[in-house]
Amino acid sequence: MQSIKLDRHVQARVWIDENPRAIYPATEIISKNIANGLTKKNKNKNKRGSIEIIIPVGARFFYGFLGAEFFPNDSGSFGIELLVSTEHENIYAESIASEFDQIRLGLPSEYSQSVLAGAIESLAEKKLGEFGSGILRFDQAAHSQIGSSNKFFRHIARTVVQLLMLDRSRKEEISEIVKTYSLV
Amino acid sequence: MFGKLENQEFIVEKERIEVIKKHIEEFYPWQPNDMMIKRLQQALDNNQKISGADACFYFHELKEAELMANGYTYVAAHNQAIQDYEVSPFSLYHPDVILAFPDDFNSNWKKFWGIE
Repeated sequence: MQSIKLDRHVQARVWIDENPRAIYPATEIISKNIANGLTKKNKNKNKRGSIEIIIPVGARFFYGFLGAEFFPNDSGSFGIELLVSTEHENIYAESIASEFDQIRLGLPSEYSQSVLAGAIESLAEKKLGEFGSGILRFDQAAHSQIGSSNKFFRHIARTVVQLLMLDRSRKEEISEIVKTYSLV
Repeated sequence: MFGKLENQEFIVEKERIEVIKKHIEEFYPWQPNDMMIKRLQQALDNNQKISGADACFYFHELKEAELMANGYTYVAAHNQAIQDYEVSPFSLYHPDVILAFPDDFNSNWKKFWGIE
């Protein structure tokens, strides 16, 4: 896990190929196939990327936590899966935003379409071929009663996709990815 | 919902709006803040008193600015400002601002203001 402090009071934690264990029971799984005709990239192993971020803007703050894993397969298609929860899952006591609000694990349905949209938007920027065929599964999340929003989850989903695409030998670029894709 | 500011009206002062503008520059630009400041400026220009969300935002930002100038961290200043006025965190943005930027505010804000 890498802790990041950016300017203007922004804080984040990023996990690359580590499991932050922000798990929750899914009440629904949303699946969407977004491309066909892809080949499996043999060099690709499973990849995992997660980010927790808090951005103060004065009288309020933005907060979100999102993590995903990419599972390469031979299906020839690229699909996204999203584990949706209730709003009332367990409190995430280890959150960097615990001093601001009660942070709960899970991704309520309110944010699900924004996560999907952010991921698709980010995948469109770079070629899906970089991933190859497989499933991108968003399975870790936490949210704030006050600080989470659809726009912010869209941004975080974009960031997670970029973290998954990051060349593992260039981890010094993590802060730049967070700045480029997460900020409001 | 407006704590100590409930059922009260307040005069807006030009110098204090300047303090808020300077304080907001500490953070990344965010349009709803600009819209809240514009509402304060309009009240000043039209000699109107403020109440409700406008007053909550005004006094919250002034207190937060004062505390951060005295060395408080953002989180300590933000929480202290909310406690001092005993306001709900959801009272700090006017419903018109929430409606203007619906993607920036989740359903809890809309429930609070009855604008779902």
